[in-house]
Amino acid sequence: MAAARSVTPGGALLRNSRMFAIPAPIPPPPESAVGSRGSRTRTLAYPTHQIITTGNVARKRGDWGLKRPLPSRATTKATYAMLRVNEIDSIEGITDYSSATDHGITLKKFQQLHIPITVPETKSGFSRDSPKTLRSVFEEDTDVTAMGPEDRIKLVDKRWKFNGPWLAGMGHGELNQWLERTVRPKRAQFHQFLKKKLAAEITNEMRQKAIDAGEPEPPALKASGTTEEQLLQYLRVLRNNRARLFDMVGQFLDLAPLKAPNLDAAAEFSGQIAVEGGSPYSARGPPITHPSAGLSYLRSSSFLENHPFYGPQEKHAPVEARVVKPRRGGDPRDLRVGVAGFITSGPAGESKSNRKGGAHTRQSGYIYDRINLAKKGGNKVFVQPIEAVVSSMGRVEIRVDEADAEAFLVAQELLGADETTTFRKPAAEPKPATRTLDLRGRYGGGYDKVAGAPKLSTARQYGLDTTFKRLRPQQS
Amino acid sequence: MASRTWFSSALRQCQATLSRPQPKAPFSTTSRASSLKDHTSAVSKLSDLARTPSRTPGDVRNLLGNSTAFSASRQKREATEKDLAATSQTDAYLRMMPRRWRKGDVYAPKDLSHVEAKRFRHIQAPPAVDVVDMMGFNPIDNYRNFAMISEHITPHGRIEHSKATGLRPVNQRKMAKAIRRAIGMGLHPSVHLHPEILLNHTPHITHGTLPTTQLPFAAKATRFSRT
Repeated sequence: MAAARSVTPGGALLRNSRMFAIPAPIPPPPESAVGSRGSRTRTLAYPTHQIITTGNVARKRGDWGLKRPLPSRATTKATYAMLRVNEIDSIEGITDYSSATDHGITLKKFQQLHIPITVPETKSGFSRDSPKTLRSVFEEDTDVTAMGPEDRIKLVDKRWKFNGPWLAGMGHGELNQWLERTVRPKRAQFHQFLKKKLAAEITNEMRQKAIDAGEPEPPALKASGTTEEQLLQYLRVLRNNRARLFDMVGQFLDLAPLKAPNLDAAAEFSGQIAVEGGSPYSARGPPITHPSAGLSYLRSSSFLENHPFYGPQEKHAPVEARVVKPRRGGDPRDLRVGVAGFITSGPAGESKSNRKGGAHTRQSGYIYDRINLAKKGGNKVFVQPIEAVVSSMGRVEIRVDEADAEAFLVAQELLGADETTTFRKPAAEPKPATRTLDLRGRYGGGYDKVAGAPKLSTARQYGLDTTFKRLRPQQS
Repeated sequence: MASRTWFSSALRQCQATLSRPQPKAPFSTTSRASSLKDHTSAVSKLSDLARTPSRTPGDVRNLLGNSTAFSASRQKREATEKDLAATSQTDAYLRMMPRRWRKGDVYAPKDLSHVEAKRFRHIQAPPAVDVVDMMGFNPIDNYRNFAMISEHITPHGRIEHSKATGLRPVNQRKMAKAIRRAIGMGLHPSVHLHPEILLNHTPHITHGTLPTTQLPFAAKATRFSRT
């Protein structure tokens, strides 16, 4: 026993150190088999290694509580001291680490949004017709994992943690493998389970008969009191009643709830798979972490921000988001906007980003449709984040709304913008991009400003441009 | 649409054959007869026709002169040309960013850099799971499925390594056997992909890689016209 063994002073020191406290990494985010392959160095949907930090003085010395000091030039430049350690001591005798500011700062930014994490939608239908009732993941009735077997059955539509898999998310081969390896050996146990259920049903029947006849209650029948013949009969009944059989199997194996999604024409058009009633996780599967994923413990955003001059504000301050991918062909759904480091689709329902047509896109200044080369970092829009949902793949999906104009002005004023910028007109059309010749001039030998010709050789200098020249209209 | 493609193809033919020097004296653009005399001038007339049809001789609109209604329509046309050029430019730049952003992706400044963007262009990584195990089928029983065969060979008909297919050794051997069977029976070509797949899944390269301001018919060129 470890407790009986005496611990040396050095051992005691090590056991309380950072080195021994770093947990093992978790498996990477589940990706689909053929999709989402790309760069190996891209930021993952959630971190897999613990992020360690250290104080300023220790950081300068390279002291991160690890086996050896880390190089200062590489680890002292970032504003925040955040690292992830892949190997404390590798075979080459070095500490394999990398910067973890991608996930660390994303978490800080998300927490600055002050939005709650909510349970997925259960109602079907258009999102704009029926406003979603935001339900926090920390509600007492849903956020429970320690419960007895009877409570487990009762709360199957509310709880998030299940011991068995979600069958709809398994491929055919995976399902067969699971049946062979996990389910088949449990046949005897399943029969025992069914006997208990059968005994309870028989007891209920007997009690009902006794009440009808006016006789005293008979004693409860135990599982051992049922015969094999009764069990066989019960099995035959269950085989004819699929729903009841699945109920039994689901209870025994603790399967995640499965309900046929309500795929009518409206739901198909809106791109949602929502379920009428039932568990919020029956459409896309239960979450692989706690529904909040430890990101934020806010239960609601029902608080008012107090402005020093104008008093409590009805709407929260809007947040600047980056247009990462403009929509093509006027389709609003393929717009991708980045809020606090998370990619999300644009505001749903009635909003400027969802209006098709030339007049609307022109009015919004083509922010949602074109790449703006003139502006550094591309187009930015102000949005109002409403809530976040952690999906069954562990991804954070933030729902945003269009920013309120007044809230935007008030927020800008508070940040120190003057009237000329706060009362801004719709963004003007972006300046036309520079010509490729200008780009060559910038990155090559430079422009000969006097002569007006670039120093670096161009197609024109080689005479390859002359064909275009000849085709220009002759000046008569 | 047909007229535009005719113009662009005619223009390319003219570019190829133009080796004669331009005539020194500029000739009038108003005379229709003069446009028919010279071949080279006919080419320049094509560009004229495309850009400023108002100057096309003999045109009905010329009879009206430079009316304000016409200049308004010219402005509208110019605005449309500008719109199309801008859209074309956005398309060209979007082609430089092949990453498909999904909801829930996390990005840091490094993910927006050209280094990361380049890595999304040619995805070399094998599938994370063994697809044969996931789908639960026997490759040998599906030797007639030419889509499955084509997916596990190189474009030149060589069987892909398990590093590329992501199959475990047992399934890799079964898949290889199915491929050899299909090719041996003549159900699948041995040196290229199946013709039905070549027909439907060959990517078309458009001319959008050229800078739009340099093209003479900048406004007319769309991503749907084929080079």
